[in-house]
This record gives sequence, structure tokens and C-alpha cells, in this order.
Amino acid sequence: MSVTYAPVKWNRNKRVYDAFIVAGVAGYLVLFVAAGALVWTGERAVSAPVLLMRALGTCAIVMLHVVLCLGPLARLDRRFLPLVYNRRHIGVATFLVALGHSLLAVGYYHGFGALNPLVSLLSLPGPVPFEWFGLAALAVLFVMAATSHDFWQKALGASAWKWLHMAIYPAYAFLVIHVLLGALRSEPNLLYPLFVGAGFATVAALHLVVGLRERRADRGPLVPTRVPLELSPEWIDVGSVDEIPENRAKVVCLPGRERVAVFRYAGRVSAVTNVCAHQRGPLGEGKIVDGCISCPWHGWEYRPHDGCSPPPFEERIATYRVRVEGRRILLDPTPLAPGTAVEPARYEENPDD
Amino acid sequence: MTRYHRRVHVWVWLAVSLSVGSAFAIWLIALRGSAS
Repeated sequence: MSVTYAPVKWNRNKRVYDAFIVAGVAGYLVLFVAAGALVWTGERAVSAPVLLMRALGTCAIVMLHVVLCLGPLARLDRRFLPLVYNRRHIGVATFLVALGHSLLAVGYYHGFGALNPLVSLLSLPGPVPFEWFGLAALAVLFVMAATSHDFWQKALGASAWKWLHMAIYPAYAFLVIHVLLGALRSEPNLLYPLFVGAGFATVAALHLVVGLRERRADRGPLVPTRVPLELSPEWIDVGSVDEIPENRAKVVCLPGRERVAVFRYAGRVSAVTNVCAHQRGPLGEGKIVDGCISCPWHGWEYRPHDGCSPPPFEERIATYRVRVEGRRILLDPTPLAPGTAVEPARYEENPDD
Repeated sequence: MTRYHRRVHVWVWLAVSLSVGSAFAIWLIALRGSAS
């Protein structure tokens, strides 16, 4: 977040991040070309453009795997969170590398005929040419790279933007199919399919592990509710104050509703939705910094008692009513309108602490 | 993510797995066909 508009809000973190991306891509290309020139010799020798084409293509696939693994890795281990912060930079770089691969391939294989190269590409013989899957993946990556800026997120709305950017998964499927069918056509060895298979297994396994873990957490039993008579019977007991570390939250899954993040800070307890207004990040995995909830994904901030971003920002999230009885936290599961102020529940500091 | 996004996430992953699995099956069948 920042007050004044700038196309890219550069800071040291972003510069270092992007320097690593550029160095990583350059290093990969140099290594691949050098290794390829050593390995593919004699009858299997390939020309320099084909070598570079393969280097760019495999580099884009490796980068896409990194992008897809970062999300679940960050859920499993918080040390990966800083890499999620500028994940879209890797996404844009992936598109640019894939574009380099495509331009080289179209120019090399379709650029010297009578037909327009794109017409030539789209009029390939055969039932379903593998190039089409590559083109489809590139088109999706282009749309995602072009709309990766916060401007588009604001213009489209956070929810629509999120839906749009879930197209990364179809793009991934197109790319894997592109590689497999392409391997059948031009590359008789098993190397590419095996690498892509191992990559898919890794990405799928990480998503599965995180999905199952979250499902287990969501289905965890809520403590039998013993709410005071003056409260509506809908109020639920979400646990003890002592379960929540200072300035952190407990995420509670309510049946049929959104998750709620219950924060403990400075002798108080407040509850807000677990969903950040920016990119739907998990607020409950963030912490309270300088009195504001800080989203673990991109650092968007909200005041815990009213769900409003501090001025001059205008983002708002839903809040919930809470009470502390003894050391048990009681929550009204009905969300209040985003930005509704709720008096934080106070509790006595534990004398044993 | 909202619960709707999470639900769609699961279905999208199923679709991706099916597509990729089919592509691998086609690749294996074609590979065995060309070997025999």
C-alpha cells in the first residue's frame, strides 16, 4: 500500500527479488545452452536457434512450476511468504520467457514460407497440433501478465481479478500437454516427459497436502457452546484466549460461512473475516503490526476493531462481535457490514504469563 | 481465499489432473505404438 500512485512501487525488496529472477533466468539459459551444446552432438546436434528455443521453453516451464509451488509452500512453511509477496513478477517474467520461446519457434519453423507465420502455425496438419496448446497457454499467460498490475485489480474488482488469475491452472495444463505432444513429434527421448511428470507430481502433491490439511483444520470440532443466556444461541465458543499468541490470530471455520480470524492483542480480542480485500489473502496467518492487522501476502493493513484500512486508504473488511467469558472467546457468527466498528472484547492478563 | 474460490480451486485442479493424465496416457500409448 502507498499513498501516491506510481506504476511500480519499487523498493529494495522488489529490486533484489527481480535481480534474482533475471540472474536465475540468465543463468539457466547459459547452463542449458552450454550443456545442450555438449550433449547434443553428432547426429543429434541441433542448431543454435533450436537450442535457445529449448532453453527458453524449459525455462518458462520451470518458472511456472515455481509460481505454482509458492502458494502451497507458503502455507506449509512461513519462510516462503516473502517469495509470495512479489510472485506476480515471476509470472510476468514467465510470460516474457515463454514469448521469447514462441517468437523463436514461429519465426524458425514458420517464418520462411509463403504463408504468414501465424497463419502457417494455425493451419498445421494433423488432428490437434501440439503448437496450438502452446499458443493457448501463451495467450492465457499474456492476459494474466497484462492484468497483473494493481490497476487492473482495482478496475476489475478483487473477486473478478481472482477468478481471472485462476486461469494459471488451465495455462499449466495446456503447457504440459504442449510438452508431451511435442515430445512425441520432435524429441524421441524420455527426458522432457519425465521432468514434466515429476513437476506435475510435485505441484499436485503440494496442493493436495495443503488442501487436506486445511480441510482437516476446517472440520476440527468446535468446543460445545456454553454461551450466557442473554446472548443469541447462535454465538459459538471458538476457544481460549490462551490458544492465541499475542498479536496473532486463530482461524475459525464456521459451517457454511467464511473463515473468521480472531486476533488477540494488548489485552483485547477482535474478530474479522479471514479474507483480505486485496487478493483474498489469509489475514489470520498475518499478525498485528503497529496496531493493524497485516496481510501475510502483500502487507495490506486493517484495524482489528473496525476492519478499516488506516487513512488515507479505504479498504474495508467484515467484522464480527466477540465476547470473552472467563478466558473463553465467544463469537457471533453473523458477519457485520465491512468497516463496522465493534468494541474489542477485553480479558484479564493471565497471572501465570 | 473465499470458500467459493477454494471450492473452484479443487474442481479446477481435478480438471487439470484429468487433462494432464489424459495427455500422459496418449503419450504412453503413442510411445508403445511406435516402439512395437
